Amino acid sequence: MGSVLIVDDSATLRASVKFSLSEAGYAVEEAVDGRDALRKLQELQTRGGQVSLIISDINMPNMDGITFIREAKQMPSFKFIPVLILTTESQDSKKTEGKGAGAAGWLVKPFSNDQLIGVVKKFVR
Amino acid sequence: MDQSSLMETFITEATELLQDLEIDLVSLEDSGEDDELINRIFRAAHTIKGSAGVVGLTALSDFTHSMESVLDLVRDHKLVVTNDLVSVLLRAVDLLKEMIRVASEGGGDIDEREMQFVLTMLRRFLPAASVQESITEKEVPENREESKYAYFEIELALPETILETGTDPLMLLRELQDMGEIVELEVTTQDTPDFHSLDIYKLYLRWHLVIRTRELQSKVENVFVFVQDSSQIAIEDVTRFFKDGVDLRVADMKLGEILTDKGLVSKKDIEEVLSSQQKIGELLVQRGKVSEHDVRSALEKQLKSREIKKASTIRVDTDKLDKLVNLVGEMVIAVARVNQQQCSMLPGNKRSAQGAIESLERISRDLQEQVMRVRMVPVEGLFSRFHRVIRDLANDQHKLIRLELSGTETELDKNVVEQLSDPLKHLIRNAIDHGVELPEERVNAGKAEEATVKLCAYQQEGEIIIEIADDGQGIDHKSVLKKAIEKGFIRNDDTPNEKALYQFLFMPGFSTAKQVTEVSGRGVGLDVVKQNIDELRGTIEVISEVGKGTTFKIRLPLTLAIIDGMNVKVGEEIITIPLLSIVESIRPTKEAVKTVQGEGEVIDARGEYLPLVRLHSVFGIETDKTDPSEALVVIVESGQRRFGVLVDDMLGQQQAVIKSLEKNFHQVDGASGATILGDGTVSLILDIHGLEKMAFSSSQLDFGHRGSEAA
Repeated sequence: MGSVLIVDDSATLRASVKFSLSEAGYAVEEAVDGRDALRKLQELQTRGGQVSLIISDINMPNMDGITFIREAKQMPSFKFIPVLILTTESQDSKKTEGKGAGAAGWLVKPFSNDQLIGVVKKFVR
Repeated sequence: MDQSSLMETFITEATELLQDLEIDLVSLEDSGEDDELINRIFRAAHTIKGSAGVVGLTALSDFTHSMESVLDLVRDHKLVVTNDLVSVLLRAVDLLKEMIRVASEGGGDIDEREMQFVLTMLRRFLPAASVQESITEKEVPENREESKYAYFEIELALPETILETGTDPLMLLRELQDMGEIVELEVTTQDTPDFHSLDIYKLYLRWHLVIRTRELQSKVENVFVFVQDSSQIAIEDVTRFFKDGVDLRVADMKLGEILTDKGLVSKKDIEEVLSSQQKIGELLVQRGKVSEHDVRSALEKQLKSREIKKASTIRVDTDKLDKLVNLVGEMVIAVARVNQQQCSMLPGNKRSAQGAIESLERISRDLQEQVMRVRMVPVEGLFSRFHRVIRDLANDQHKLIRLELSGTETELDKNVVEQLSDPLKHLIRNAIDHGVELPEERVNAGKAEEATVKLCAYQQEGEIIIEIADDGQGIDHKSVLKKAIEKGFIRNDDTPNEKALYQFLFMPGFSTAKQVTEVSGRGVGLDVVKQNIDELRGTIEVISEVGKGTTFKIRLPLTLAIIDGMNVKVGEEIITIPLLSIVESIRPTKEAVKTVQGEGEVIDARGEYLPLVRLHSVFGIETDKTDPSEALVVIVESGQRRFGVLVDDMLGQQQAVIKSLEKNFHQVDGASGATILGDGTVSLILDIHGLEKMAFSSSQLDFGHRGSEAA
């Protein structure tokens, strides 16, 4: 089973995603914003690891989700990792923006456990 | 990590965020339009909203949503920061703090009035349209019966660059697979370039597939939610074209069309081959077998016939027919209702209405009959399948058997024909396994070497009879009797008549076969046959003579949708008894009702003692007519025996359109369905077999006692 990187500045959200995904058998890595996420990805790579899916919030301090996806897609080793963005219903434009940056999909907050697992299963089995 | 520590994380986080938010709001009032500051405030509200949703604090999340909407306007410079605005936002922060305090103490009441007030204040800042936006529309569920399968045809052309986003098409296909069964799958590889120009990061494949699923179309569409705007995906509900996983459209397609559809050959290929092909007429003329003139006139004749034929038949979806049958049924009921209402009319009106109603009744009956007839198909298709079954079994068992069919033009309801296939197959196997002897045994017994199995159908008084007869060794009474005693179905000294005795063959676990064969004789056969026939509201009996052969005789109603019923009254309830199972009705004298120790009550019906079943105690209906000599006893006949059913009174005969209880309510023991009476009340249709089982099976023996105590 692959591992998932959750990028969100909300500790609650990270904790909840980690809780649900661990229950379902996925390994979960955490990052608090885009910059932290890039650092985490590189750190994992030096240890020979790789995540199978990234779930990222958009509005975060230091580096937002869109910039993070653009940066990650620039790097050959991370280019093919699918990224899901977290949006709210009021942010329909964000879906388009995220897709433009290279996101593979999105998850609308708040989401249920089943919705989360259902979407993650589209990318990691 | 569990739910309670998740809540703790939230409370800590939210408390911190609210503290910052308060400070930031105050500085916002001083600094005015500071984008960085506004963004931080927005983010704090946004995070609280999201996190609250995560831990299930919906009220808190919804409330913050309104706050966020206002902040969103501020961020987009659509709303100017004023003293008034900051006051309202601070008041909202206070309320949020309070809500979080309540949540940290494990929940409780929040000041609903204060919340409504703050919400109203916040909404003042929102344009009218966005207020409505917060009332989210509920998704309207599509209509589909849970149990029904749907077929969706999916054309899937994903963008070439899809792999770059990290989306794996295989995952999408697997997700589809999880939803049901992929009944058709074709991959188009035509776009794949040759090896040297192949870009491994590009997707060249396209898919065409058909999935059979219980899911709704929206659920299937949801698989492609992330790729739909960049791909060409067509999902079409093709359920109407499919049956048992097979595309019925293919039946009318030419071979060439099927092959081109699959992308195996091109249209040009087909045309090329066709043009080089010679027509049969031309070939015959060429070889001098027939004159050109004769061929032309035969072709003309064929063309004319085809044209006429095309005009005189149309294909109709069976679903449409079912609906029609149902509607006609409803109409019959409505007419009965009108007829009933007639009694309450004034005498003058009544006379003039009567003629009209009578003709309406007649027309609707005719209409019903005609509609029923449309659903009927000849049994020929069903019967002729068995040639193969017999041939194979005969070969396997080294027996010589000839199948004789008769009455193949007899028509039966389409549904019935389909449901008859299994039981008939079983009976035929049974006949070959246990009935038909080996050729040498037959010769020794003075019979023809080749055995005959006859399958015949005919109509008799509103019933269709199907007989499966073999001229084999017949059934040995004694071994059946022995087995019945062994199994405890009857006592040692019982001497049931032949008809009753053979009914034991249909009991679960009853098999007299000395040898268990591949296909039958495991004791799990005839009871299933009987069950199948019961479901069709038919009966089955056995006629057998040792050395001469065995005949299974199946009686089936002409239609499944409507029965002729007798309405009887029990207490306040009206129950419908199928007319076909009623023998007669009697009002016994007090002396004619007797209680037999351990057996319950019996009544003396013209010298024959029949068990008595009290309908009011079976269904638990209150009634004061518990004395058979004051009420009525309806004598009914099931496949196995006759018995009396005690009812209060008989009300009259009426056609009943059967409504499934299972589909609309749940199964009721002793009732095979329900019907709606002329006045709109619901009446249960008595299931004679079910009632018999309830009343006479050994596990329900105390039922009989209860009955006798009541007497």
